[in-house]
Amino acid sequence: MEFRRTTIQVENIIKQYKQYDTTVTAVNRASFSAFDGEFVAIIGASGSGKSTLLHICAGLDRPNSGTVRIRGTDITSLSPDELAEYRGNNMGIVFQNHNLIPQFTALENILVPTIMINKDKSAYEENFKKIVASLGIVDRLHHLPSELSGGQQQRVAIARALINMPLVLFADEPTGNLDKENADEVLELLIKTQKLLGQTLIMVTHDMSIAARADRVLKMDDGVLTAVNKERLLKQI
Amino acid sequence: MEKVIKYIFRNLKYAGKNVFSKLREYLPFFVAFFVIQSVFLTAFVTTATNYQHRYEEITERYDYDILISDLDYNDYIVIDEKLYIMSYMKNRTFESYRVSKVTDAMGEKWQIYVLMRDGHTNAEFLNYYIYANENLYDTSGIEISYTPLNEYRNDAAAHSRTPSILLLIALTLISALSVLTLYNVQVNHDRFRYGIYMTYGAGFKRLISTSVFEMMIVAVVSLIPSGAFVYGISRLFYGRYGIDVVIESSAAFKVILASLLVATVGVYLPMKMLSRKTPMSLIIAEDNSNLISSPRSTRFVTGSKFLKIYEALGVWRFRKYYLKLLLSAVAFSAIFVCGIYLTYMNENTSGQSIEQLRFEAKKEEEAIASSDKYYESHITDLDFFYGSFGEMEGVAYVDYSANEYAAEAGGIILLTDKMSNRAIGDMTSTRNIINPYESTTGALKKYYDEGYSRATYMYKYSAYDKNMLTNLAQNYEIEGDVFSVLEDSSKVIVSESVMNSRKYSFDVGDKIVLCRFREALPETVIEIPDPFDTVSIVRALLENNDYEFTEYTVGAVIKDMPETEGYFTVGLSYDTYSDVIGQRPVPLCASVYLEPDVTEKEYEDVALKAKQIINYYGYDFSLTDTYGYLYRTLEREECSFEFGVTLSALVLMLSPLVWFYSQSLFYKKRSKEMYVLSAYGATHKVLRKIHMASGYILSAIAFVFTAILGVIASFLVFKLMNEWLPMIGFGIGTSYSFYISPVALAVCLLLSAFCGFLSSYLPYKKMMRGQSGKSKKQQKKEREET
Repeated sequence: MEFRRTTIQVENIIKQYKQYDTTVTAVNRASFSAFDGEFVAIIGASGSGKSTLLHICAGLDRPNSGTVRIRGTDITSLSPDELAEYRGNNMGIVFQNHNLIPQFTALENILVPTIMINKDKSAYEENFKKIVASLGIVDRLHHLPSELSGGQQQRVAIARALINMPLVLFADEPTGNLDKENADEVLELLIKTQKLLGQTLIMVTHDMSIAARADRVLKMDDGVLTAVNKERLLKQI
Repeated sequence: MEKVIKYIFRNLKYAGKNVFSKLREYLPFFVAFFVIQSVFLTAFVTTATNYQHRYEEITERYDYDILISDLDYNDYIVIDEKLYIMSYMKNRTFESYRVSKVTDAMGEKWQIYVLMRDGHTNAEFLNYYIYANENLYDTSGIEISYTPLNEYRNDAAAHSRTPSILLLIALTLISALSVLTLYNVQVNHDRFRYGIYMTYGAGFKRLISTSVFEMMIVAVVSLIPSGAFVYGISRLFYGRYGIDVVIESSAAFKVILASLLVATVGVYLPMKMLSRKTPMSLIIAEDNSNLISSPRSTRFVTGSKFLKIYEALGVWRFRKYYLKLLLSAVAFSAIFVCGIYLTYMNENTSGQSIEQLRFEAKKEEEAIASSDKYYESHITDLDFFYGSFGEMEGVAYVDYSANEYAAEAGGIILLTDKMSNRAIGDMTSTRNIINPYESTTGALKKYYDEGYSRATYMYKYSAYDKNMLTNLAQNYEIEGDVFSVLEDSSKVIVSESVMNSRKYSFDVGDKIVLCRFREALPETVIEIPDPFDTVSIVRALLENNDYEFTEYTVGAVIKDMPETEGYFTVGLSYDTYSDVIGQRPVPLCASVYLEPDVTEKEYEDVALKAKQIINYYGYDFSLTDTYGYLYRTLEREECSFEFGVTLSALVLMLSPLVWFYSQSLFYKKRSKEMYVLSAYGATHKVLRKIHMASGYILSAIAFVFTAILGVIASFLVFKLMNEWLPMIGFGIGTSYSFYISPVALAVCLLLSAFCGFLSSYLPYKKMMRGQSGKSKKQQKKEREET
């Protein structure tokens, strides 16, 4: 039997917002875990809380209660500075709308994470070459985001997420803003580089066909996270 | 080392990219750093120039440090011999010396001029050649005076080439406030970028270093124009007196260091607050920033109610933003008002009479007091000085008075609550006058029952003759008649200030009770309580000693007599003084004060006359020249007024900068709201009215804010200069009155109102241009062509 190490372990996450006088529970006691090199998809309708859960897992937001452990480190108990450092060293994040800094070129955007953790050029140079080559953006590196197509922008965003060789890659509907052709290409690239670098990929999507490519599928319904039988899902598709 | 250089280089590259790609957004920082560096450079340049100018002026006039005069032949020979021998020694304390002979009515006298060596004190020299010189018979008749060269050599303040630490701290705080204000606006506007930085690992340290690198790029670029500006104005101001501007090579480095400090302090708080937020809250805030319109308000869009309430609601909706904006923008106006106030204070101080000559009695006080002959001649001498100098051109007045501290004379004064009500609760000198005696009998009980429930020994007795009373009447704001003390021995003069502010409250006709110590009561041992508990001390003194109580009537009140210590004055005639103190008043010093605008000729006449009087009559007074005229001239040439106004005006420039920068970014976010309104049918006219309404409301609030903050800030400066600084030893013996420059306040009020309106209205014009994509000129040209 193959032994697999747990990369991320999420336990009883609750996230609530105050809206005027009422309290909205975006995530209600969500728990799951993912292993090294595993691709986990979280599906759900709009507003079901899947993005919120992803942001909490990536340390971009704080839960009201519950824990997120990455390789045994409880990131919910870290101070803001410790969390930022941990995030920079261990996590990569891809947003739906790429979130590139408009005044920086593609190259500069990709290198932002290395500057944030003060990584030496020698430490990322080889990885950088490998990533930009596999993402097919070598000739677009000196262009501003506004000079790139949607698909190219998202590739740059993926390169930025991968540049520090993170343990876990979080993707929040990475193909949501792309046309079918570009979406397929980006997804292929994402899965390819994830396999190449052996990372754990947690992806939020509402696209069943993308979820079908995952090793495991979780469903978010009104803040409640449940496991989905992948075979049944494939039949549905 | 290589790593550090790489780190700096990489960060500078990114910071530079960020700054120069968003040059328009960073433009306010360039202006702010231009102002900040101009302010610092002015401080450095004026200090260095003033130092150099003082040095040149003084060395041009004086080539000696110490003047030993009034030497008879024997003393001269004794000292000269020693000096002559030592002049061949390498380890001597003086550099050189020369001798001159003076012949006057008293005969021949010798003078020795000594130039000291750097690093040696006057005491070293004088001890060896004068005081410990065993061959000198009597050194008490020898006159020793020091020139400004010596004072310059020994005065740390005059010697300093760098501005005072207090000034540098104040400038750093003001500068940091400006950077903080602007950076706060910038951070709120650029949350997205910081959100991305934090997403990819930036903690507080990284955020602050990113910001500091950005600010350093701005600072380096703005150094050139600010340097040119400061050089220009310095040439302009100093040029009038033919003074060369001195710019030390290290000034640029110091300013860059100051900029680094200001940038770090200024960005610390915004970055600290930012780092406490979650990255998503920053990224999402950016995405939803267009949805700031209130649906409740937009439904009025086409109705008549819309305009009336929309912006009022708008101002309320954005109250936090507006409050921050008003406080920060108006703060610089308030600082400007304070800067003008400080400049006015400085100007006011330099407008006071100059103490130029000081005659000091050579005889011991006891010797004069014990002999009627000496005493009479002493008083006659003072009278003579008063008459001789009083009529001279350029002389303001001659001052001599005898003072005695009440504590030393065994005196205590009883006051009513009304007289000392302003002193209650004060931290300085007034703790000792709160109900010092509660359970007592006799005369004390009688006065206590009559309302004299307070007592203090924190005052001094001053003896005034007709001449000195004339001085009082001419130089101070007086209530009542000061000369009444000469006619009526039961009348006294009192001052109201202690520690540079008016703490006592007297009216003409008030009765005060002076207690004169007679003897200690038998078989009582006064246990000295806590030495700082002056209330208990006064109480113990009154209860355990026998005092003679005498009532006096206040004949005149001095309203504005400056007093940096904790003692107010009780002025008496010579006779009353003798009665109260038990001995005759002995003025030991007479000072000749010159008019503030005295000419050099008048000054020289006065100095010459003083020397003639002393030489001819040979009075038992030594003459000291305080060189007040020289110092006043040097001060005037330092152009403090001009630089004070310029620096204040520079700080005022930060106010419109904050207004327009903050508002332009705010309206940039609100522009989408305007487009939504437009989509619902709001015409350009309606949108213009919204902006104008916002402008009017903001303008009115800014006007009120400026008035309030201006007054509060000026009052704080007044308290600081008058009370708080003297309390920690920075008093300068001048009592300032509370003052707000009406011109400065009017400028600020108009500026705030103007900025409040225009910063709201201009974004509308910009938006209209943005919609058409054409400038106003282009639109006009097109209309003409059509």
